Amino acid sequence: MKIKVYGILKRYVGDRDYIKIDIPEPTTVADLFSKAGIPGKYVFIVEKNGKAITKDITVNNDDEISLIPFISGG
Amino acid sequence: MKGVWNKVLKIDLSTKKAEIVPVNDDVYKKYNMGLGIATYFLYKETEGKIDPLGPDNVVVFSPGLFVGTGVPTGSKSAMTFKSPLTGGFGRAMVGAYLGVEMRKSGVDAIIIKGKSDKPVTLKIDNEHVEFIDAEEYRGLDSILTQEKLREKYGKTYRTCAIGQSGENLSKISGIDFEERQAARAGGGAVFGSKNLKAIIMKGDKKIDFANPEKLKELNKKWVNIIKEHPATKADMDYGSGEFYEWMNKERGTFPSRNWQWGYFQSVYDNLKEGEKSHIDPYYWSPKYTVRHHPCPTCTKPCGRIIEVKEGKYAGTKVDGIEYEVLYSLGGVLEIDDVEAVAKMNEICDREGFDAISAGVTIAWAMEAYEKGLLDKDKMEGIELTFGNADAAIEVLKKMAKREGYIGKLLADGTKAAAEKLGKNSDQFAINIKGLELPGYDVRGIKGMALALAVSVRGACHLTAGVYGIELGGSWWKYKGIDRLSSDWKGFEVKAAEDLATTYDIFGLCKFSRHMYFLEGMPELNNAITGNDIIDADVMTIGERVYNLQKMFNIREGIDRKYDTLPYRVTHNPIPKGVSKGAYVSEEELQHMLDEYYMARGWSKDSTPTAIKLASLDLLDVVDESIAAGI
Repeated sequence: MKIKVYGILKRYVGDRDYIKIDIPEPTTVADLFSKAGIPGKYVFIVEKNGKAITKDITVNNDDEISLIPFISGG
Repeated sequence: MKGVWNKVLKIDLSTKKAEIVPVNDDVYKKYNMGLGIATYFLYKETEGKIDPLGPDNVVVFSPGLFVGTGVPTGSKSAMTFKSPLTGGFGRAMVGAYLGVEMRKSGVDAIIIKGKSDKPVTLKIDNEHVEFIDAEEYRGLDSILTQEKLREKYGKTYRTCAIGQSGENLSKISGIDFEERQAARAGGGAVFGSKNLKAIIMKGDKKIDFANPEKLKELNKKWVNIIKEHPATKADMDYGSGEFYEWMNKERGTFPSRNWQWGYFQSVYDNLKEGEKSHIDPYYWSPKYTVRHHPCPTCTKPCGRIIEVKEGKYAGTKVDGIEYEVLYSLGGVLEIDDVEAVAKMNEICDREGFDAISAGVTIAWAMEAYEKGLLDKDKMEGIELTFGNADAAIEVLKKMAKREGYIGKLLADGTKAAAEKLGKNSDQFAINIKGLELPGYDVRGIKGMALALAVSVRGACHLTAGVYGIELGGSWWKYKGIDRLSSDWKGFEVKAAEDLATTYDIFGLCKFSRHMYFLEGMPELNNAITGNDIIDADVMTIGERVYNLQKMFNIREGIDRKYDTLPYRVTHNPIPKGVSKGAYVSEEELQHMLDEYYMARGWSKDSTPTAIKLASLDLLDVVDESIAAGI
């Protein structure tokens, strides 16, 4: 599974733009955070294949996930 | 009422007289402080159709209620005036230390009218005003002027000043408050038209809070909430541009090359995988940051001083670079050299330009130049092509002085420049009501397109601030928002405007709105004032103040016809990136406007109805004859 990571979340994955992890069984987004070593409280938006999802949704190994932190902006 | 002084200070620059005017509690209950009373007094003290650069225009400055109270991020003061850029309601918010002095001075606002016969500085000690000759500061940049004033009168004075662009009446000039700017809508030119170069102020009184113990307890609570919030560290380490890469790559809504693109791809063309774009704060902030530069009472400062120590821009030192500037002096000029962006940022601050408007105006000129529409014989050898940072820097300096063909053409922003040049150049002039657009490609963010179209001060991203809601899809009470849909956006924008207005009334920084939301405000208000308001009251005050701003525009004849979008947004789809193909059709815009006016309780031509104004208790202020009928 490819997990694209933005902003401050990169510091939890070795300052990389994305990581790849293997999940043999479908898992929830919340479980994915602990597998990837990313603190869930810093994640504001989770997207599965470009669509926003909630943290209780199940994801599969062939999904592409994007994790986005809080947006202050402007 | 506790927590306020029940007085304002009226200053007439023509007669060099100042007077204290009492204000009763009802005014504060209806409008509160900050943008609230600054809107109320601007409306009351001006007539419609006045010359914004004439002596009849008025500048009102008022700190938000939370300023000077220890409320974390309660930093912002409001300045209102008739805008010379839009001809309508002018507003600029600023994290001003001068606002803190005013909160301690014995007055809740200053109201400045008239015109001095020669350059003047206002020196205000509590309620006492002196008119000081400012001839020696004429032509000096805004920051140097303030440094000299503090050297002469003492560092306990807090200050603001205009630079050359304001003195030269540039309609895109603002006012500098110790390196934070009240930048937008041309307030610098209003100062310049009054020969008002600077204000210095000192207050030594203590605000009488209704419940100081409760306030202390609440402040402690909010300091902790902000400290623990996940956004705080990112804001402090990287500033407001923290989400630049995501905006650009993942949303494709970072306008570049004068909005020819919504995705600044070329910054990545020469990079290896994993390397960062040089205008990405994750690249430049650790490399150039010298120290944080917080607004008053900010416990999560996104402001920073950066310094360029080597290379052709060595010696550049500036408060920045904010997200909007990464767009206006970076992407939209197709410049990815962060040191050049910093240099232009510094010039804008010192000369007194609104950095958004100034950058977007140069982007317009670059497109005009590349299309062969400018007179190359009069360009003095400047090759004003996209990506040419040195040319942009040279043009910026000429704009401040209104010097030469190009400086004169661009000094008043894109609307005036396109009108002067003709040749259909208005089709790529990126402004609404005259105010240049901020860094959100609204072709792919349709609720934000509506927000910019209807904002009372022109294309302002913080009047509603719905970019986070739209791009993230959820925030506060909002859920399931589709940025590419034009449905239900009228209601989304209306509620967001009312909420955002309350932030400008209380003086809370909008970058803490995902911490306080609405619910945090009433108890702070009540501990300061002794009133007993609830969240619904806060929203009503926001709605009232917003409607009064709208009535200011209606008095000027600014109605639905002006709630529009740039030609490029409605006719040229985003050509590449994630949002490829997106644009806002004219039909979509009209659909969103109809829904917005309905949500607002305004007529089809955008005029507030008499019923709406009566429900907001505004009929004692506004002229009912210009309201929409029943």
